[in-house]
Parts: sequence; structure tokens; C-alpha cells
Amino acid sequence: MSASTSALPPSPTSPTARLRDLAAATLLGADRSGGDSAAKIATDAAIAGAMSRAGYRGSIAHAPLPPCPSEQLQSVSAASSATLARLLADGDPVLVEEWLTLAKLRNLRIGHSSLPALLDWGVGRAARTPLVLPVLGARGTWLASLNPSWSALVGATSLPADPVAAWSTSATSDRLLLLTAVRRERPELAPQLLASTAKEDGADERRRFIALFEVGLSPEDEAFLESSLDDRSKLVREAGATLLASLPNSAYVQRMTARALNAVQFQEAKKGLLRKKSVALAIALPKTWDAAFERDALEQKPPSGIGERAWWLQQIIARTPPASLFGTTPPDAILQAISDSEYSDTLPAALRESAARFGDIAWSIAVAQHELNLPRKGKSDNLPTVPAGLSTDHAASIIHTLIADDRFNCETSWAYAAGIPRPWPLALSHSTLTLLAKKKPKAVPQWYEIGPAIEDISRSIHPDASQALDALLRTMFKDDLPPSITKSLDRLTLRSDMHKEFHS
Amino acid sequence: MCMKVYRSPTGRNLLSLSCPPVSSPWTQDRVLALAPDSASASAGQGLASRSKWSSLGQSDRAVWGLCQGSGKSPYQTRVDLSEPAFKCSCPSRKFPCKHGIGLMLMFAKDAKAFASASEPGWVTDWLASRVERSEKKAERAEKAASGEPPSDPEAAAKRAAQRMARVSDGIAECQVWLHDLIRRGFADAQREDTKFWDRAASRMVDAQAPGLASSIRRLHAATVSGEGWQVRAADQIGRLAMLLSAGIRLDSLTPEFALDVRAALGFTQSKDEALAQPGLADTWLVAGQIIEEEDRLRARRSWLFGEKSGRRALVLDYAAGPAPLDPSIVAGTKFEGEVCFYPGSLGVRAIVKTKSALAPVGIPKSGAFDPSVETFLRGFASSLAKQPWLNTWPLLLHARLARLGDRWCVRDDAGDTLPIAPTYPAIWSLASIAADEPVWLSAEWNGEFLIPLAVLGKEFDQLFHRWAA
Repeated sequence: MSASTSALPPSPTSPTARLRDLAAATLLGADRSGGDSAAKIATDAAIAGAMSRAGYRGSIAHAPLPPCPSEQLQSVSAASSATLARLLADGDPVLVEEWLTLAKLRNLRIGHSSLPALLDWGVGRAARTPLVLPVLGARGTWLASLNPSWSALVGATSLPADPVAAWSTSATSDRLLLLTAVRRERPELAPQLLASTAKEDGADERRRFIALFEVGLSPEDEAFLESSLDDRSKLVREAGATLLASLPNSAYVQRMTARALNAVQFQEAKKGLLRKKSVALAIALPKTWDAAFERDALEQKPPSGIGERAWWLQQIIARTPPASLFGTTPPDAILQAISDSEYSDTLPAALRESAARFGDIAWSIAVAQHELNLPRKGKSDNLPTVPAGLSTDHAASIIHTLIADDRFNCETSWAYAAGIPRPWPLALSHSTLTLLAKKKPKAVPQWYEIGPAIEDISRSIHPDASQALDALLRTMFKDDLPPSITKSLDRLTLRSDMHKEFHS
Repeated sequence: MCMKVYRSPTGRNLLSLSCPPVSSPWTQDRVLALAPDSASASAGQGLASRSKWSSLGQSDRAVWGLCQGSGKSPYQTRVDLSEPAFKCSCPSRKFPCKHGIGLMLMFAKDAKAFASASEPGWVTDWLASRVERSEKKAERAEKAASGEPPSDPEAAAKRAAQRMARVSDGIAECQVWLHDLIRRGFADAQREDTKFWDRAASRMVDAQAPGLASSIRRLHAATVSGEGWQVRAADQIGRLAMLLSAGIRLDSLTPEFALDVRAALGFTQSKDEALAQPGLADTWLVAGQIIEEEDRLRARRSWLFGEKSGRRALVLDYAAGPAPLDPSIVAGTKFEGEVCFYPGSLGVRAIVKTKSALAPVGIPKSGAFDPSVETFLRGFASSLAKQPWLNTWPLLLHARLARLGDRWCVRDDAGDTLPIAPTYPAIWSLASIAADEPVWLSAEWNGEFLIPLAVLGKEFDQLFHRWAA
């Protein structure tokens, strides 16, 4: 070798320092640095580099990792782990959710090597947090606490010793986490926190903070929320009003109920030969826009297609418990009267909203059945949806009634069924298959219509019905399976394997 | 399902729900590592379901099954477990095809689905033809080993001289280029686009010195390697300068060192010549594998650790496009067998001559691993003394993770540390597997940073499959 040690300049500097000097010379260029020739620099770099690498000392500053607690839960099987890894890579959130629910039901945690992918999947989506947290195990919680982009996921549950002090010094994003934790553990503290900085906080911040009162909302919060209706910002008033409207005994709801009772008059009568119950309905729209409407965060300007005053009433009814307005009169009779009136387009939607808001199951079912029965007028964006708070069983029973009466309308009913929480009960799954068998598509355009529905069914159906669906689709399409149907079949197989893996 | 409490070397109880048969080295990970690309891996996973297969069977040397594809008759898929080797009647040009991957994934997760049966004709015929082929191959190797002279020694000598002359020209040209670069300075060269480096590299390929082309590419990579790149670039300049000056005086070097230099310049090393060397019999642990991709070429380094000899062996494989990488070197397995080293002073590049059936790698025995960071670094230094331009050296260490800020390192029992590359993509996978406990870690050391490859033990966790530096 050309580079013998004698070529080294008699220098006290370490090879590593020498290499740094040479790096500076090569950066500037031998011509400009005016020192050694290029050949000399190259040779010196060879020697200093090799010496530096050979003399490497393994002593960098470091700190041990925080101790990781041992696992309390058992891990899922290797096969289940492999399936989860695949689902996370394929990115079908519905199936990931199903997998996580299965693991949670069996009190299992995921395998350690799946943790990074699952934490990535769960972070930043509030709805996923309750699915992810129970299966992380001790290792997952530990791991997430080390990574700033994951720590929020597990950190949202812990409250600092002095929340008020922490509140005053935190940035908005941290405050949102802190407030969530406060609302979970000490909800009574929240108004104090907000009040302490209300003067400095912007309207949008105040709105986001108030919206978080949804966590652990109770009648105790009414006074504070009522005071938020005096806020100068409409955004803040809306956030407060939305929450007040879901407290059935609040003064806010009472005000709305009074307004609704003022506008709606009805009378029960028995009519015709069968003496069927019917309702005579008289509606008197609010006459003028009231300053109190403004404070209660009603919208003055209607969306296009609705009259101004009808719009006010629609909002009032949406915030009034249906039972407070109509008493024990059967919902069917009321809805019939509405559909004969000039408010057939607007009031059912308002009643759907209020039934969901106040958890009135009888009204929810009645409105859904009423809407599903209506002939559709074009637009798919006003398809009936499953109201929040309606249980799977109730939603399923709506579908069952429709099927029993043979009133199942393809487009609306599929859309409705897709909104029922997954996986569907076995009975509903089987009746869906019965329906599907009736729908046998004969020509290409028809399976285009039905393809998306089959996709939804393949995601939602009870796993014990998946074989029946598989068989049905294969008979429907013979050997000529369109690609979208093949995908649905693959999804069925995957789901059925997934369930088996948890049982084995 | 059986439940067992396994005791890790540190005494921590590890609960495992299912215990795979000890004899099968196959896990999802190891099978997926065989897939030629991610599309095949994902398609294979889709086929890893009982409902996709019929007539699944296994014997002591093979597994097989019929998979219904888009064609009329199902595809016949079979795998020779000894290698493993794949064969499928589907028309795919990928190798192994998705059916092969799917079949092995099934076998890894659900061996019960495979009936122990006598091999059908389409399996035995294929296995028989494989035996025949391997016998012929052995014959050829024997011929080469017995030193039969090449057909025309005179022509061969002439070709060798021609090549040497071109390489010498290449070395001279490269030296001029390098000195010019140093004179102008990197601040200047950084303004050049990629073509500047590509041109220089392809000139060296034309001069039949692909090793110099790689050196130039590494130098380029160093200039864009982020914080501290200047020192890294200076070091690469040094390595290249050293190789060039050794190349110039090739004739005056010891024969063994001359072989090293020739290999580093990019002269092909003959497989047959390596096979003709006496083999080193040992239990070889395939403890780490890394695949690098450049254009359409995949280069795979497999690091083997000898349990009795303590030797490290590097098995290199290359494949272009959809062509397969040798599926018989499986990370996370070990085998009894002979490994032959290519001649040279360092003796690390090797080829597997014979091997027994694969077994899971398990926990390494004391001969195979590095006792401490200090002994590892001493070993690395003595390898550098033989080959100062050495780029990577393998590590197998019982160590735990530590960090400072977002810089991670591994730490041995004595408290010595090696830093993990800041660009390392799988740090969170590693942390999820190791947590705060010591683990058996295989890794590559490049003189500055560690690239962890796998965690060994009851399970074998390959930390990543492809490396894009």
C-alpha cells in the first residue's frame, strides 16, 4: 500500500479531527484552500479515515430507556397477528375495526411487532382511539410514550397534578388534550379553566373548547353553557346551543318546546269506516325573527328551497323532544298528517333529528320507516340514514319490517342498511341474503347497480352467513364473476378466516 | 393449542399462545422475505387461505397444493422444503410466483391444513428432475475443482491481459477525476447534477472496473447524506484513493492482497474457484439479510455466523428485474454444512457448498456472537487492517436499546455503545420487539453507524426487507 504511517504529518490531532480538517479542505477545494496538493489530501484522507474507523470508541452519551412494564394480557395468535399486519397494509379501516373488536372482546393484546403499524393507524383519529387502546398492552403504551407523534394517543387519559397551571401555559393543541382529560376525570373543573383564559382566547379556540364539553356532559354543565349563549361570537353560541339542546331538561330545550307548541296545533280524530286514527294538523309559523332566536343560535337565513319562517320552525322542532310536542299521539298518524301538508319535505327531517337527539326510539323508527317508504326524488344525498343512538337491533328491525311488507326499495334500503353498525346480527344478515336472491341481476347494468351494495354487505354481514353469501354470489354470476364481485368474495374469505383465527 | 411459558435469556417470562413445531423454520416473515416484490407478497397473502386451495399435502421433503386461478384447470404448486425451491404450473414470470408464496404462507401459519400424504406424480417427477440436475451440477463443480485447463489457455490469457489494460486505464482516469474533484472542491461539485456522478461512474463501468463505479456512487451518496456529510465524503475520497493506489501497484502486492484489490476493483470472482477451496464445516446461522435496490438490480447480502469457528461469511446474491434471488439462503434459519470462502486476505465473501435441512436459528451459542462492543470493534479494526476500504462488517450482539433525545444506540452489558443510523427506518419495530430488555441483535456496522437487521431468539424478527439508503 502506498499509504504508510510515515506519510502522516507529525500532528497531535486525532485522526478524526484530521479527517474533519481534510473535509474542510475538500469542501473549499485544494486550489482555493492553498495548502496541500490534491494527491496529498487524498492520501491523508485515506489514512485518517481508516485510522478513525479502526479507532472507533463505543462510548456515546446515552440514557437508558424508561422501564417497560410486563404484559398483563395474552397476545393474539401468530396467524391473527399476520392477518392484522395485512389489514393494516391494505388499509380497509372497516376490517381493521372488526379485527380490533374481536381482540378486545377476547381480552387479548396485539403482537409486539404489529405495534408501530397499529399506532400509526390509530393516531390522529379520535374515533379509533377506543378501538386501539384496549389491545395495545403494556408494551404498546410504553412504546407510544416514547414517540412524540404517538404519545397523544395514550397520553389523553392522564391528568397533570395542577390542571389550572398546565392550562395557562399550554399551546392550543395540548389544551385540547388536557381539556379532554379534565372532562373525563374532573368535569366540574372545565368551566374554571375556560374562564381563566377566555379574554385572550380567540373565537375559534373558545368554540373548540366548548365543543369538548360533550365529553362527560351532564345537567351540571347547564349554567356554564347557558352563559356561553351570551358570547359575542356566533360560532361559540352554536357550540353551546348544540350541547344545551341535548340536555332534555335544560331551559334551552324548554324555550324551544314552548316555541314549538306555539306553532303546532293538532287534534286526534277517528275517521272513515274503519275508524282509523288520524290527526288534523294546523301549523302557524313564527311571524318575526326574534332577538331570542339569535341568542339561542338559530340560523336566520334558510338554505335554498325552504321559506325563511319554515326554516325557523324546522330548527325549533329539531331541538324539541317529539314526546313533549306530540304527547302520546302515535308517530305514524302525525307523520301521515305532515306528509299531506305543505311541510312534507322539511318536518320529517326535523323530527328525525330530534328523535335521535333525545333518544326517542319509537319516533326514530317511525321516521325512518316513513322516509324509506317515500318515493325517492332524485338526489341521493337526502337518503335516510340510521340515526345516531339507535341500536343495531332497532335498525335491523326497521329493515325487517320493510322486508316483511315487501316494501324494500333497493337504493334507499341498501344505503340505510349500510349505516347499521357492523357486523350485522345473524337474522338481519340472512334476510339481506333473501332480498339479494330476489334481486338476481340479469344484465350487466344491473350488477353495476348492485355491486356497491354487495361490497357493503361483504363488509357488514355476520361471519356465520358469509358462506351463504359466497354460494349465492357464485350462483348469481355463474363462472363469470365481475372483478368487483371477486373482491367482495375475497373480503368474505378474509373476514371468515379472521374469525376462525380468533377461535382456534 | 398448547400453552407454554418460555423463559427468555434474561429470565423474563414470555407467554406464547401457540408453539409452532420446532422442526419447521417457516414463519410468515421468512416466507415474505422470499417474495420477489411487494406485489407478489401481497398477492401471496391473499392466497394464504384454506378456501383458495384443494388437495393440500405434505411429505418430509415437500409441500404441494392445487390453486384455482383464472384458467380452467387449477395450478399445481409445489415447494421443495430442503432449499426451498418452487415450481408452479401458472404462467407467471415472477419467481417464486404468488401461488408459491401463498402456499408457503399457508404452511407457515396452518400446517395442519396439509395432509401427510404420499407425493402425487406431479410432485415426485419434479423432485426427481431436481435431484438429477443437482447431480449434474456437482459433476461440473468437481471437474472445475480438479483443475481441468480452460479450452484455449492462450486466448484466455490474451483476454485477461486486454481486460487488465482497460482496468489500468480506468484507474488512471479515475485518479485524474478524483484529484480534479479535490482541487475544485465539493462546494463546487455539489452544484453539479446527478449526471456528473453518473457519467463518471459509467466511464468506470466501460473500463470494466465496476468496483470503482460503486465507489464513485458511494462518494456521491455521501455528499447528500445530511448532517456531517463533509466528513463522510472525505472518508469516501480516502477509501477510493486507497483503492486506486493499490490498483496501480497490483503486481507488487502479496498474492492474497492482490486478490482483494482485484475483487474491490470489480473483477468477477469465480464461483467454481471458491468451491474448489476446502470448505469450513460448521453450524451456520443465517442471522441477517439486507437487500439493496439500484435501478432494476437487487443485491442481497446474507450474513452467516459460524457457531464453532466464530467465522463470519458474506453470501452475495444479485438478481435483475423479476428474476429470483437465490431462495435457499433464508434469514432466520441455521444449517449444518460447509461454506467455502473466496480466496483473499480477509476471507469473508463465501458460498455455501453443502447444507443440511434448515432449522430455526434460535438463540445463538457463545461461539457465534460478539461478546461485547469492545471485542467487536477490535475485530472490525483487524479486518480494516487487512482491507482498509471495507464498507460493512456484521455484528451479532446481546444488547439493549438506549437513546439520547431522538438518537438511538445499542448498549452492551459493559455499557459500551454503538449508534444506530439516524435514517434507520425500522427503529420503532426494533423498539417494539426489544423494549428495555437485552436482545440478540444482528446488524451491519459501517464504521459510523449501525443498521440493525434482525432480532434473534425464540422468534426471528426481520426488521425490514429492503433498504433504500
